[in-house]
This record gives sequence, C-alpha cells and structure tokens, in this order.
Amino acid sequence: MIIVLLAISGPVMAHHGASPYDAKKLATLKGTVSDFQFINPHVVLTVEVTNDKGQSESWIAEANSPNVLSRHGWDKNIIKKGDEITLIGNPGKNGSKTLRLQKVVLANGHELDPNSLTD
Amino acid sequence: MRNRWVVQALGVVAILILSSTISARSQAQQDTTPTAPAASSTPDLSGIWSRLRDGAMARGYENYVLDFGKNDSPMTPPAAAIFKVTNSKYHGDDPKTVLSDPIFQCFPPGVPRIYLYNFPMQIVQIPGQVLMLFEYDHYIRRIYTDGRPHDMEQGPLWMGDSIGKWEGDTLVVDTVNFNDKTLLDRVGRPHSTALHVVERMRRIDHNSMEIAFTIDDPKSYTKPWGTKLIFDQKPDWKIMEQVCEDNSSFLGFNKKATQAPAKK
Repeated sequence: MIIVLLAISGPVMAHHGASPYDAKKLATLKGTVSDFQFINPHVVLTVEVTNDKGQSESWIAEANSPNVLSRHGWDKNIIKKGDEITLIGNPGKNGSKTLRLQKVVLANGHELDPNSLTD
Repeated sequence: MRNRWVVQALGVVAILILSSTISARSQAQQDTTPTAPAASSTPDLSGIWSRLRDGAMARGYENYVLDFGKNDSPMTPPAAAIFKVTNSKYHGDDPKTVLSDPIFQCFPPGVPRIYLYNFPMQIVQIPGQVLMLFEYDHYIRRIYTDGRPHDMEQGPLWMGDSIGKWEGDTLVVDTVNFNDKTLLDRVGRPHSTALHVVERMRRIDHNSMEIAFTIDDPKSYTKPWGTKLIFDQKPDWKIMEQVCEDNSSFLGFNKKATQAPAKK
C-alpha cells in the first residue's frame, strides 16, 4: 500500500532560496529532458531518468533566475526537449526527486554553470 | 502745457526704468534657469549597478548573501525575543519553516534587505528625484531630493519613505516610516517601525559605487550599526523582467514530484 505524504503544504511557494536542498550532498543524474522552463523566478528542468530497477522516474531540477543565467550565457534554447543531459546538483532534503543544479553537462560535453550558489 | 510735457517725460523715464528692470530680471532668470545647481553640479550616479560579490572581500568589502550582521549591535530584549523565533524559523534546516519567510512568499524585502538579492538595479536621476529601479520584482525606490520632508501621512510602508540630499559627491538617503513586517536579512534579524536607515551613496571610481548604510532602530538595537556594499557598473546590461511569482506551480513544493518518498 502506498501512502503519499503531503510533505510540504501551505502557501504557494515562489522565489524561495536554496533551503529545501541539502548543500552537503551532490547527486549526478543522466537522463532525457522532458521539459525546460526558462522563466522566473527559477529555471526548472524536468528530466526522465531510468532507475536501478529499469523504471523511468521524473526528476525536477531547478537553477537560478533566468536573468542571472542569461548573464552566464544561457538562453531559453540552450536546452531542448529530448536532449540527453547530465545533471549534477544538491538533492532535496526531504528525499524527493528534486535537485538544485550546480552543473549541467550537455550531450556534446559542453558544461553549463548555473551559478546557483547565490539566489 | 509745460507741466504736461514734464509729466509725459517723467512717464517715459519711468517706463524705461521699469522695462529695464523687467529686462534685467528676465535676463537674470534666463541666466539662472539653464544652469540651476541641480543640473550642472549634481554628481552622476546613474547607470546599471550590480552588487559585487566576486572579489568584494579582496577590495575590503564583505560578500554578503544572507545577512549584514558582522558588525551588528546587541538587540534590545523585545527584539531578541523576536529573533529567537525568526532565526530558528527562517534560518533553520526545515524547508517548511524556512520557506515561510515573508520574502519567499513574495512580500517586499524592505531596505536594506533588497541589496542581498543577486539582481542589478538602475539609478536614474531626474530633477528633484533619484530613482532606484530594481530588477528584483520591479521594485522602485523614489528618493526625493527637492527638499521636501518625509511623508508621514502614508504607511507604515514596506520600503519606507525616502528623501535625499547631496553632500559633495555623496547622495545621503534618509528612509523612515517602515512597517515591521519585513526582516533585515535571511538570518531573521527583526526591526520595528522605528527603523531609520541612512545610506551614503558615492562613486569610488568610474566603474564602482559604494553604499554605506546605517541601521538605527532604538527599539530593536542598542546602538546604530551598518556596513558598506560595493556595486560595479554594468554598461552592457539591461534591467530584465523578474517576477517573484511565476513558475511556482512548476517548482511546486506542493506537488507530488517534490514530495517526500511514499511510505509503504
């Protein structure tokens, strides 16, 4: 039986800082991009990852503001749906399938710096 | 008849003197209007500025992200009692309580907390006003430099009421009339409605600006305290749209994908 925990409820979160993520841990994921939102207040990337059991899982990775990323060479076309991608970042403290991006590696090996140390 | 000529002559002289006076006065006005002191001698702080983080410490400034509290003052007992709650609530490890910080619900950040955010601002100088146009959620600070007093008939206000005056090359900005709904920083330092912020803004070289500010809130702190920030001019940048609320439904800390793993 699966019991879904309503882990975090209350007000709708918006701009929110990095507190939901464990800055002491780094996780690496390889997967296929299913969505890329280059909008405020935080850029959000959804990636389909195959887990150890061969099952597909959706992970939500977020980065800094698109404004900050624009000043670091990103734009809304830099990542596309279907791209094979590697994400490195801090996982959610609550064990959810979330990541605060610290580095993105594109299929061609090009690395993107999300500059997410500040927000 | 003779008297009439004398009267007419005196009238002509009077008109000449009067018109000469009017002309002189008009000339004086024309002379002063284009060279009013504010137009020619006001220092220029205009431009797009980004608070320097990288390398700030090397230049003798702090690289603030969370708070300005390195040289803060002891709190008064009421403020310390508030801080005991806000610090554990907003600066702890529990995302649920940390995210309840009003700033993360898109309430205005107040002053000087708005400087903690990693977004540039543009200074625009127009007669009688200095405008600070913040990228962060489109906030505008309107600093009146025309000599008017504080507007204490409004508020209390989230961003306070600001008036300014030039002291040499420095714009001295005086801000009062704050509400007490904001915190000074992400660590949770509180303030009261007695908060009085004085900022001294000046170029330290062509591409850099310093803002030194003092926080004076006798209801919350036993003495005034503050620090200095450094900003770099960014002539190639533009102020972009930045909206606190937008993709919150995608971030969705209420959504299934971001919930803790299910228990079996």
